[in-house]
Amino acid sequence: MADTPLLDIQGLTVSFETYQGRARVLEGASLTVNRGEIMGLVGETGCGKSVLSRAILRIIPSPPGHIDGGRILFEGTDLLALPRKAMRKLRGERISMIFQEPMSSLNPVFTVGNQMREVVRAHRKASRAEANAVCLEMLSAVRLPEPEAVLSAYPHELSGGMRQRVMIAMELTCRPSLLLADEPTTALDVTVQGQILAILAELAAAENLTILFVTHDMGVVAQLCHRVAVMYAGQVVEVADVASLFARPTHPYTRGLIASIPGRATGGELTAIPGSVPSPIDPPPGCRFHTRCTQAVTACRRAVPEMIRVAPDHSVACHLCPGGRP
Amino acid sequence: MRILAYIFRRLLAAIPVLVGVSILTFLISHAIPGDPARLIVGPKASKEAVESIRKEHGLDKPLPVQYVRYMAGLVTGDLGQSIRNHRPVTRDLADYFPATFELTLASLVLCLAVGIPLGILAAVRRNRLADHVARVVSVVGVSTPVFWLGLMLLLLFYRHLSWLPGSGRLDVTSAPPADITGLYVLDALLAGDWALLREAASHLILPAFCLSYVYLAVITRIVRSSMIAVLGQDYIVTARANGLSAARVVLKHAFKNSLIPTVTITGLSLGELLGGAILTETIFAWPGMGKYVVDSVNSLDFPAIMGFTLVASAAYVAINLGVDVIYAFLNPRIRY
Repeated sequence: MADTPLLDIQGLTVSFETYQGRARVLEGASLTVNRGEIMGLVGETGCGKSVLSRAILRIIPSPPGHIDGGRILFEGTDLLALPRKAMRKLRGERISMIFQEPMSSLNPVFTVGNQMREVVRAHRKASRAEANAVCLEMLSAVRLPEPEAVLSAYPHELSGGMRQRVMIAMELTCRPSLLLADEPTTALDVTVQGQILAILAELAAAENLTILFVTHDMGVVAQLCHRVAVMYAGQVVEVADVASLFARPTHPYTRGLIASIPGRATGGELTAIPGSVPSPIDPPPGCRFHTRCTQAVTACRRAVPEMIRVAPDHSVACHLCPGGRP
Repeated sequence: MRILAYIFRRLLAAIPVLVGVSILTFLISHAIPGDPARLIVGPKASKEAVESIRKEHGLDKPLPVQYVRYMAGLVTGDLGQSIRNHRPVTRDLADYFPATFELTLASLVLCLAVGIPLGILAAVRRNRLADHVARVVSVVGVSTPVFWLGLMLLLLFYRHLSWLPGSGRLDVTSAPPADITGLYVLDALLAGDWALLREAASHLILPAFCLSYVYLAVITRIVRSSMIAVLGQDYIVTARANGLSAARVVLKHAFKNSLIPTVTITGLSLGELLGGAILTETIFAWPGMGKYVVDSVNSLDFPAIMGFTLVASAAYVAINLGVDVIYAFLNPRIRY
């Protein structure tokens, strides 16, 4: 068990039915997350990173969404083959999720205590007092002052940062092994963002919690994550430990992403990747990035590149990288 | 305590509203051409006879004087005397209001008991069979004229099937139960008279259904659309991601949020049900305020028209206040 990865996603394909046709938002996305690590998942808006994290919990709205294929192995069990009830049991208990908008991800008409106790009691037999004790403990763990007051407060009575801490506390009440964090700091201002990241890093270390951290902020990745997966147009195109990725970005898209971080480019000008993300309804053949890639060759238009290991903990899907076909 | 102060403030604010309503009703009902005195004594009566009736009811005085006299009576709880039947209007209203209230309440219960589950089902199973059924029920409901629906119900359930009685609150031969609330069904229940309860309830079914159908359709649509909006919210995703059962997500997390627009519409519907029972009461010979006010208008019975309008307006004000108070319980962000 120790060497099987906690989460192993293989060839995940998810599509959404739209009026314009079927949009293949994920196309054979693969990703491995090891126990105890914080894995960053980065990419532009619309690249499918949020869909990937929601697919793990099987909470993609269906219709219009549909998981067409692939496997999601969590501790060796394929979540996609799990009966509905077993899957529900897993949610919030073994795998939890926090979201981008702390303003809207708590129910406005119930108190924090009501919502937190509900999660505790959905997964184990606990009296109201026992559930309360668990909630208070978790609220203290996310360093919320006056946890009793927070418990009896309604979400609108708390600030954005406090709400996000409440969310984290709520999601960790059952001590899950995996936390999916879908851009949890994007809606917060920078100082609060720093506090939330610190809390997550601390809890991850203390509880041996694995985090899949979805973001589009390379700075956050550098600060928090151990490894990173870069997604482009529904596929994972490069996976590496954080140091290697920033030192030797290999996929042209990753290079573009890193070059476009403000302050890194020389000359003080912002570098941008030309063009825009291709439509998932009619994606380009071959490598999906070839339409924006300055170095694309014929092979890029023809064949989908496979993941190639270029260093012990560094894989990339590009025809042009060392060991690639052309 | 803050909510009590709020209710008190709102009740104070209702006074100018009701005064305004009284002035308007007074002016409009007196602007109708025609002379109630003439209607009482008949077309062949002498001028003197008409004059004496006018004098008797104070109709010979100028309008402002009549209004002030009326309001002076109103303050002491006197709504005047009906020109038509010479009874105090308060007594008439006390006789007729409970019947209308019972009918309205039964319709409301029917609306909510059917409309809310149907709306939720339609939202959860959007574009599937339940949704289509709910849609057909709603469209038919909104587009069916009440008088036609009432007649069809009578034709089917009274004339052809003989399942249900067709008119009145009880059989002609039955005596009403002891007057506790004025609602026969409730009074029979309180008296423990099961046969009478059955009888009163069976009389209530057709008119209540007829009256409720339009609002049932409206409530179903509102519940459906507000449910759909709520089910798309982030906190619903959170609730699902936390492993809560589908029933809990829908019936606890989504439902309470979707109730706010539903309560608004229910309040408006209740007001309309109270005032809008006229057609239904006429079709089913239901001895309520609707029938009373139609008769009053036909004979230009000013005190009766005024009395009805004031009671109906007061009910509107009370319902709206009730709705606002319920908001505060449903939505913690609302503070008065």
